[in-house]
Amino acid sequence: MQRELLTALIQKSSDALAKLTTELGEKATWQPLDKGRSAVDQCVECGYLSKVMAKALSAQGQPEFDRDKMNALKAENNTPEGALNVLAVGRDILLTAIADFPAESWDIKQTLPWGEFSFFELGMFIYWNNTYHEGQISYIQTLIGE
Amino acid sequence: MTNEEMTRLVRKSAADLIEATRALGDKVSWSVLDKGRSAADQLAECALISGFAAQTLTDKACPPMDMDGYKAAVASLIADPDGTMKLLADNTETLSDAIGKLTDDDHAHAVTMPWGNVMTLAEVVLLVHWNNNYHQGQVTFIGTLV
Repeated sequence: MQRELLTALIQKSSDALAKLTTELGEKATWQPLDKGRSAVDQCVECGYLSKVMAKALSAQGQPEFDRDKMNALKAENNTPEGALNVLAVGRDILLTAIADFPAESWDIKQTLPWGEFSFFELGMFIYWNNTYHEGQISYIQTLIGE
Repeated sequence: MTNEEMTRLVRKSAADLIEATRALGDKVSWSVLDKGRSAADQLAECALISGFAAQTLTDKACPPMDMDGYKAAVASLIADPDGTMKLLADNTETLSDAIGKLTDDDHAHAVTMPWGNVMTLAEVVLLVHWNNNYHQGQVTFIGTLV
């Protein structure tokens, strides 16, 4: 049940991010008012975090976020094609980790600096993050007038 | 997903949205580039949808959709962001109470949404969670543009 739900939500939210970013075309690197984060920047973050969470699920351990690694990935993939590839690779790795995760372990809790979360809730964090950025990229579209 | 997990997700998404809106201060009614929806407008939508979902879970059926009434309510709420934050918090608690009363069979109970598609009551709850997260992303994005 948890595996099927997470798989469906991660797939759906990742597809939504990819669709919105693709629709932006060359505007995918646009920073509104020279302040807002571009769609490309956000897609790379979502792909990177998916990979981080996949590793945590596979090891049944804690997610290990490395901001320097993420920023390097962003610098290497500052194009719509590059960002969409990072997003797709992260999604696929995460979906594989979810498929391989033992059903009896979803409710095991991990203590993180900001609270205690089950592996299922950690998976849901990626869904939340994708959805949050779906909102932001959609907002960029409205500012362009599309 | 358990009732407890759904309640936790919905409550957190509403609290995060309220916090993001409050952080905007006097920019809560700002329409970016005169194109983007203001935070106050988005908050009103989320508050009303949470109330709609609570009633749907209680009645096991969607209430009739009154678009004119909805538009009038949004217009009124936009003028009162503090009141709208309270309404979102109150409706989220009403929704949480309704979630707490759902049986396992209720989760799979299907209702026809006003826009025609059929959703289970569990999916209605996830819709509220998605909507709050999506708009939290947009409201936070407005904050980065101030």
